[in-house]
Formats: sequence, structure tokens, C-alpha cells
Amino acid sequence: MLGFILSFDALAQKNAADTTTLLNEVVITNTRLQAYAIGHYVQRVDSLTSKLSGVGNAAELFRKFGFGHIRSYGVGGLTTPSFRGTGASHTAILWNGINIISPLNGQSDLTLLPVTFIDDVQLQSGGSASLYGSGAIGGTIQFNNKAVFNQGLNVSLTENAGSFKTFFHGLSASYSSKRFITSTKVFQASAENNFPFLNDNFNPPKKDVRQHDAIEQHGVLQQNYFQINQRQLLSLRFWYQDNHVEIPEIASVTIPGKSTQRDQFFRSMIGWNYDYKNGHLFVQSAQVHHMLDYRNPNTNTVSITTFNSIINTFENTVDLGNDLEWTSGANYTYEDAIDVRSRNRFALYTAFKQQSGKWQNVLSARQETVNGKLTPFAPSFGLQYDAFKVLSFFGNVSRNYRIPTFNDLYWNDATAKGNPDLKMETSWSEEAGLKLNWIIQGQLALFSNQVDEMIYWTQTAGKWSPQNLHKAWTRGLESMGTYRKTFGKVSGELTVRYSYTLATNEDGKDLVFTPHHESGTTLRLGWRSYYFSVTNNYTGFQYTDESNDVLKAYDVANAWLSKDLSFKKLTMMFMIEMNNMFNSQVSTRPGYPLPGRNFKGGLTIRFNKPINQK
Amino acid sequence: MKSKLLLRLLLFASALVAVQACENDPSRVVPVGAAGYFVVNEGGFGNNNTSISFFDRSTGKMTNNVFADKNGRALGDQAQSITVFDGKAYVVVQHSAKIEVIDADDYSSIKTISDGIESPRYLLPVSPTKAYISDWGADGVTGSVKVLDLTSMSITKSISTGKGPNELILREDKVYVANSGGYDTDNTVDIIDISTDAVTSHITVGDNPNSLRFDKDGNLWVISTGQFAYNEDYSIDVAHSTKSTLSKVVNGTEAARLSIDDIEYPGAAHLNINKAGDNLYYIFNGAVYSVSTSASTLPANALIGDKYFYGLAIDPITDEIIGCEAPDFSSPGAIYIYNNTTLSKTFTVGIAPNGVGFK
Repeated sequence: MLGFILSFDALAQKNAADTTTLLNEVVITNTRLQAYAIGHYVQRVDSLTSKLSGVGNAAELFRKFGFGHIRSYGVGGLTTPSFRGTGASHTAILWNGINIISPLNGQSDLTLLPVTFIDDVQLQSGGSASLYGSGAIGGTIQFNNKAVFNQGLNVSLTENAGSFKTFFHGLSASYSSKRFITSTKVFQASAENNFPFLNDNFNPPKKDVRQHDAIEQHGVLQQNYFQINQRQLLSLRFWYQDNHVEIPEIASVTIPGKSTQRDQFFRSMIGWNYDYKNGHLFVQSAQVHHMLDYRNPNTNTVSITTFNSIINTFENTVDLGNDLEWTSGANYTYEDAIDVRSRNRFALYTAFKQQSGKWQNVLSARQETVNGKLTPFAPSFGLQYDAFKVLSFFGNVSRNYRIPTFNDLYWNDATAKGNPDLKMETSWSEEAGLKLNWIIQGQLALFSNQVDEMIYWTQTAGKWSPQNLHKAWTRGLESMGTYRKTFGKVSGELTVRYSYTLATNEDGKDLVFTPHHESGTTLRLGWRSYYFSVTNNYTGFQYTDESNDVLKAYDVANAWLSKDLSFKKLTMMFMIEMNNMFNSQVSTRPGYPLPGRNFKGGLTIRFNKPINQK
Repeated sequence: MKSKLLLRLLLFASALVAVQACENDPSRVVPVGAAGYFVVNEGGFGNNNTSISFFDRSTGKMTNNVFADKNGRALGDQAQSITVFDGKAYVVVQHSAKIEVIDADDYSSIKTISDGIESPRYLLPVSPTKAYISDWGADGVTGSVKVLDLTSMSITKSISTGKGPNELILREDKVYVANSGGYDTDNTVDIIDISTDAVTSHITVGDNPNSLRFDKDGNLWVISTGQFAYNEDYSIDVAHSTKSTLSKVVNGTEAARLSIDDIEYPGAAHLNINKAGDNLYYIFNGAVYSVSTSASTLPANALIGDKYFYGLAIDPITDEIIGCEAPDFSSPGAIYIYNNTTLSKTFTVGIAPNGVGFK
């Protein structure tokens, strides 16, 4: 129903040693809104991909496996998504339904998301503010945890090491019975990132080594689920993480940088799911605390900014009969930027989903108030028509919005000043496409997104200040297709992704850091308990500033080889990874090189003691 | 032989005096600026997109991005100035901590000088074989003037100066360095003897001097931004700030200090002088002001006030005013050329133009 899901799962399961789980009862523990993505281009990260990237963060996952466009300041640097030519603040990033975008700067760094902490990643392109609120203009990324009952005791240890002093240590333990789950995951990751590169910012070019580019992260995720009875489920999650990053200078600077950034956050949520006759109730309260400490000793800069958010959701889904389902909800969010301002956001949303014969459609809308001020009304309509067994058509149109960040509104220092009179950004987003479920499985969408009142920092009278300056029109095509074939004992899968994006401002000029062409090709082979995967990602040329400077097109290829072993109650996975196989000299933005060919390897040992079946 | 050398040196010195901090090939009979000028476009800090444009006087055309187009690589991050000397152009790229030496005619890269440089601002040739480079130091406080050997293209010495050394100017055998404060504050102009490469004395002027010119009578004029203090809400704390000033230095001592009553960030800067050497120009709050060297007060009204300029130069050939406009640090800037107050030409250039270097 969600349409296309890229899957190597069947293959993975076929070969998996661990097939003892008979009663895996997966329970959805958060918002049901994912089921309302009718008419959208949706990608889901499959289990093998997550397994192979299990020792990385979400930035690496998206970069290495080619899921859409990201903008990045190198391996340890700030990495943000760019859906369909829009900016970092135009993507809603949700963790179990709560938006974890910073209300201060409108961004969420994907390097702060360890893949081991996440069970399910879904990327939805296009606007969906009616369901997910402010910022869901270019797309939405959903990171979800799942409650799987009846799994017994699971303990797993992961040890990995790689080039440039990259290390990952992960330990997780969970106990899952028929009615109760408790799970604790901890990790520690570090990397020096002191990789060599040819620095062509000099004449003669010099062999250089990246400096002051180290990262260190550690965190813990604790989850508890309790089935009070057949109808009620209580869930409790707690996530703490501390991240230290050295911010490198751009490559043309000979003196190593000294700036550092620390991101420390606590996220906790309590949820209650209640199934009643023909309906479902979901209540959740979440708290987010995030501290960002940036220091530059060279300029005596110490900037510590902290925000606290409380996000409360009340959502009811009811089956109205005649294949009509209705979800409505209320969300109250309190955001407090310490020493700056706070704001109260109250939103009501509603969505109808109808399925009749070959037709499915969703009509939804959201209205929010921020400190009593109405946001633009955000309606959305999506539909899918299953014309043939192998071919469906889909499309949607939505109106979306983004409220300005605290920095946009209230920033104040000697050289920059926020603008409290900023208007909210608005957008209209349309798409039409098809889904294929034939010899080739795939999807293709044509999209158009018009963003108005875009907030843009500009300098006037010696001070930087944001204005509702620009309009943007992004349009293009997004597509992917997968072909699977088995040759004897070897299963093969070939996936090709291609996107064309044209993003221009009101003068018809290209928006920066938006390549026209991007494509990714992945080949996977499975034989017995071996898996091999190779991906090549192509990023076309992109403008890097408004004076038409460009970053040349580049290709980066990565390969993985893994082997599963099982021994009584132990399952082991060995993995080696080769990144940038062809040693391309690549910069993700001018002056921010990526490492040449590099390696990573390690193993995961999992111990499972199934529950005693009566 | 000896007299020829003397003549060369004399020509060299007078040329430098005539066009102040700029740059000339002493063997060349044509005056500095006759061929045209380079425009320095700072770019956005941290974006590695600084660039240079060239205005060819013979064709009247401006060509942008000449370094990257010729050499196939980016110029670096935040170029501050360009100086043409002896057929070469020296591009001072501050945040990249390097000097890119290029052929002044075809823009091809000759060498990148980076060893011994930390945060360079301006380059001034002081003899046919030696140049000085003002350098803020990596911390923006530990100022120095680096001595560049123009033959080996390497730094041979570092001379300690006040904080944030900015523009330099040569007269006879002395170089005057405006200590703009860098990331801190200063109120001095250091004097360096070019034969010994040592600071011999300093002149106290207004807070944070940034640029300086000699007039026709040999007096030194120094403009200072003043020092800004801020209230808690980052509005300017006028009571604790100091005014922008223009100092007149006669025989090595400050003889007069004229001040601007308004206190507006970023203060007065970019002092320039006309061909005759009797009229000064500067920018305050984005507007161009003009003042005679015989005036005893600074003008209340701007000469050109309808634009917000980030850089300023006076064409040594035509006496035209060249205003550099940087609307922001991400989109192309513009050059506005005025014949007195009449706008005669405009050109689109690179991002954030901050000044020009005459060829």
C-alpha cells in the first residue's frame, strides 16, 4: 500500500542463519501517519543496507548508498539533506514522529544519527506539511524504532576499525517477551579523519594531510515497551548522545583550524497506544534538550546555545467503514531557546483515506498557530490508481509552510541581527508518477515545488539580516528501478536511481549546491552466507555560488563484502568495506575534500536465547 | 651605470609615492594604472570562492574570474588585496594564508607562497628585490610585517608590529604601517626602516587606523575606524565607543586629528587621494566623502551617498572614483565608476569586491 519498497530482505532472509524467530510480533508504536503517504515517491532503507552501514551514521548511509542528495562539509562535517533541490531547513526529520530539527537553526545534522539506534528509515519526497508540519517542504525523513515482541534475550557486540583511525564500538542488549521489551544500546565512535589528499590550492600542488577533522561520539538509547493488555501498549524511550567535532579549515588554508563544536542532547518520549473497536488512539509526550557549544580560540568566540522542546501529540484513527479511514490529531509543542525566546505552537490536523477498487486517495490538512499567530493553511491531496496488476499511477498536490527559526527572528550580535517581522515560507508542491511491479520494479515521479517568501540572510548597512527575499522553483524527475535474478545459488539484484533537478530563483538563476543530474547504481550478489554489494554514485556539476563558480561532476564507488556465520546460539557477521574504490579526488564543496580509497572492517557477534515456548 | 641605478631607484620611489600603496614596474615608462586594474573579490568567508577581475583600459572591458579560468583551480578563500609589480601580480589571500603570484598579463600561476605567512593583508614592494607583507597573525592579534625576497619568492624575516597591521606605504627609506587592531584594538602607525628591516618608531593616531596616504606636501594622512563598544543587545554603546578620525601627520608626529561625529559601524576606512595629491576620499557608513587636504573639519555630507560601498579607489590615470559594492557575500558585486559625482560606468564583478590593484 505504501507502494514501492526496495527490498533485498527476501534474499537476506533466505540466506540468513537465524530463522528461529517464529512469533515476531511487530507493533507500531507511534503515529499512524506513514500510512497516509498515498501519491508520494517513497524510499525505504532495506535491512541489508542498514546491516552493512550499521556502524555508520545516517550521513554515511545516505552518502554511500546514494539515497537522494545531501550537502556535506566532508566526512565529519555538517551534513544535511536536500530533497528535490530544496534546502536543509526544507526537510522534516522525524524520530518516532517527533521533529528533531533545531528550532534555533532549522537544521539537523545527519552525522549525529547512529544507524544502530534506528530500526526503520523512510524517505518521502515532496511536501507533506499537512501531516508533518513546518518544514516538510522538500521531503521528510522518518527514523523509527520498532517494538518486536517474543524475541527472547539478544546481546550483540560490534567492533569495527578503519582507515584514518576510525573506530566503532557498539553493544546492545534486549529482552523481549510476549508482553514486555527492554532494550539498551550504547555506542562509541571516533575518527581522526587525517587522510592524505593532493592539495591543488597551491602551485606547485602539495601532498597534504587533512588536519583538525576528528570526531568523537558516544550515546545510549534505552527503550521499553509494555503491553498492558491486548489493547494497550505503553512505550518509553530515552536517548542521550554527546558529540565532539573538530571543525577543519577549508583545504586552501595552510594553518590548521582550531574551532570545535559539541552537540549534546537528551531526547525522551512516553507513548500510549490504545486499540478500541474500529479505532486507535495514540498519545505521546516527548522532550528534547539540545546544547550546541561552538568555540573558535582564534577569535575568542564561545557560543553556547541551548533549546528545550516539549512535543505532545494526541492522535485518533477511526475506521469509518466503506474503506474510509479517518485520522485526526492535535499537537502542542513548546520550544524554548534558552536566553532568547520561547514559543507555543498548537496544531490541528486531519486526514481521510479512502480505498475503493483500484483507487486510493488521501485528503489531509493542518492548521497551526505559533504564539497565537496562524500559519498558512496546509491542505494536501494524494491519489493512486492501480491501473494494471503491474502498473500504478500516483500523484499529489500540497501546500506547505515553514516557520522562521529563532536565529532568523532573534539573532543579535555586532555583525548580524535577526528580523522579528519575517513572514513564514510557503510552498506548493505537485507530483505525478508511476510505480512498476513487473520484471523491473520501480517508480518514477515528475515533480514541481514552488517556494515563496524564502528566508535569506543578506547584508544591509553593514549588518547581516534575514529577509523574505526569494522565490524558488524546483522541478524535475526522480526515478529508480530494480531488477532481480537468480543464477543457480547466486542471487543478484541491480538497482539504478536517477534524478534530474532544476532549481532556480525568481531570476531563473540556478540555486547553489543543486546538481542537475544525480544517479546511483547498486549491484548486489548473494551466495550462501556471503553478500557482496557495490555502489557507484554520480553527482553532476553544481553551482557553488551566485557568480557561477562550479563544482565539477564526480563519481564515488564503494563496495562491501560480508559473511554470516552461526554457531549454536551465536551469530557472527564479518564485514569489510572499501570506500572510494577508484581513489577519486572529490570535494563535496569547494575546499572540503573527501578521503581517497579507504577501508573499514569488523565483526558483529550476536547471542540469542529464544523465549521458551510453552 | 651608477647614475642609471640611481635614476631607477628615484623613478621607483616617486612612482610609489604617486600612487601610494600601489605598485609599479620601475623599468616601465607608462604610468601605473595605464593598462587597467584588477578588482579583488573577497568571496564568502569559508567558501573558497574569492576571485579577481581585470579591467582592460584599452578595450574598456571587465573580465571576471581571470585566475580560475586561466589556472583551472580556485584562487582560495578571502583575497584581501592585489599588488602589481615587475610584470607580476601578487594576490594576498588572507584566510588561505598565502600569496598567489601570477603573470600580470596572462594571469598564469607562477608560485604560491605560503610558508611563513599566517593572515596576510597587503603587499608592498620596497625595493626591486624585496616586498613587505602586513600579517595579522593566526590569532588576529600578534601582528607582523613579513619580508618577502622577490627573487627566491620566500619569506626571509618577520618584523613584529602593532595589532592588525593593514595598509602600508613607502616614502624614501621608510615604510609606514597602519595597525588596525586586528581582532583587538590598536592606535598606532609603525615606522620601519627598509635598510634594516626594523621598526624604528611609531606614531599614535585615532583608534584602529586602517589606511594611509601621502599628500602633495609630503604629509601623511591616516584614517581610523574608531573603537566600538556594544550594549547588551548589541546596539552600539555610543558613550563607550570612540569616533572615526582622520589624522594629519607632519614630520612623524600627529599634527591634527579631525573626527566624524556620528558613530556608525563599521567606521571610516579606505582612504584615497587624487592625482594632484590635494584631495582625500574615504568611505563612512557605505558613502563616499571628499575632503581637501587644507580643510580643518570633515564634511557632514557625502559626495556619493546613494550606494553602500565596501571598497574604494581613485583611478590614478583619470581621477575617477571607483566604488566597490558588495550586496552580500554570496552574489556578484559591482563596480561603479564616477567622474566626480556623475556615474559613468558600472561593471558586474565577483562576490564582495573590496578594492582594486592598478596595473
